Amino acid sequence: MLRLDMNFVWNIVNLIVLYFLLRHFLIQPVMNVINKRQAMIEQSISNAKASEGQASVMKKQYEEKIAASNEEGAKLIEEARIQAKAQYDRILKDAQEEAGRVMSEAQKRAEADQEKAMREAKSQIAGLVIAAAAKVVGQEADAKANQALYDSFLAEAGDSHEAGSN
Amino acid sequence: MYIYTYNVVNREVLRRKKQSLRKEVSITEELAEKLLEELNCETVFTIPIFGGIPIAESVVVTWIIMAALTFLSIILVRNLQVENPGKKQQVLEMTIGGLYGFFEDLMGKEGKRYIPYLISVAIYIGVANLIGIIGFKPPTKDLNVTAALAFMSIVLIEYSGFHKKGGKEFIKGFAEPMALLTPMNILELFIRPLSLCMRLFGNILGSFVVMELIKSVVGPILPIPFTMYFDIFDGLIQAYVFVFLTSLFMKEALE
Repeated sequence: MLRLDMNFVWNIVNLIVLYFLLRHFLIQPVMNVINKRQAMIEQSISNAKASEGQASVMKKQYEEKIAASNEEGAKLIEEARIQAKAQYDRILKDAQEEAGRVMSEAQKRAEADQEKAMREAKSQIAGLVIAAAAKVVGQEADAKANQALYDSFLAEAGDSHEAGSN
Repeated sequence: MYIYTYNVVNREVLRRKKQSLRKEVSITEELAEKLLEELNCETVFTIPIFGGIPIAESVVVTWIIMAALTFLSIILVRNLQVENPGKKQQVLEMTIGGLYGFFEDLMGKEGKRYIPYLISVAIYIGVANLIGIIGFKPPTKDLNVTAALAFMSIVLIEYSGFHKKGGKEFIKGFAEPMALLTPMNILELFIRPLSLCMRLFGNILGSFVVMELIKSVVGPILPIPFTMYFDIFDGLIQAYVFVFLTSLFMKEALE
């Protein structure tokens, strides 16, 4: 029962052999798998973190870009509005000027036409008067007397004409 | 007349008493003989060199355990997958990983290289203590086995200290925490393995004896709860205690 002999040595040998056997066939393979899985999990976590960081950086960039483009858009719209306003004002002014010019021109032309018509009428009337006067007075009346005569006539006629037109 | 009758009766009673007593003695003797036979670690065979080297039963049973464990490991370890482990693999990983984590928690990073040995010893003692259930004599019932285990433990404990601190520091460690305790520290070198060895041996031997007694006294079904306690629970507890203490001493040596 209580014997201690060579079997002590055999048991030590057994233990050492068992240790190598179990280490090689059981513990190392299992621990390898566990460690590999651990490494894989850690890697995927770090990957996820990295991509998350990237995503947040990209999001920030996009937000900045959107903000910048918004600002730019607003600026462009403002500019366009200012430009449009200026153009509108200019066109309006031009049109007004043009209209004024056309009006004044038309007025001038009308005045000129009126004057011309008046002058023509005057000369025609003068011719008529002369003819009439010549018929009345005859051929002998000298040129000076003739002139005076139709001038006075014209003045009278013109006055009456003016009074009549007004 | 009265006295005579009394004497006769008395003599008769005494004779009967003696007879029954002899019977009882023979039963106890028989039991003791049987027990002793069970307790003895027989030499299975002798290697006929150097004048005959005896191989004890415990060594042979250990060989059987070794073969079984190795065979089982090879079968269980096949087709291990990193992704999507099967149920079998999960149980295996939980067991080995759990043992690994247990020792790692106890000893820290520095004791990592000794963990495979401790796991092996834990598995071996556990199986050796439980093998009585399937009819083998537990090898841990043999003093040679527990002595070998304890010897290996103390060698490993001292080696771990030596490996960590180097020769000079290791020798100095005997004079800690003060020089007065040096004899104690040196004594510990012998006390620790002795206590490890005797605790395991005594527990397994004791539970074996108790179980044999119970089995020979009561019927076939009744010993089951006792087997639960003495064979399974005590066997596993002793395996746990052995490796726990070894790792605890090792951690102390590593500090």
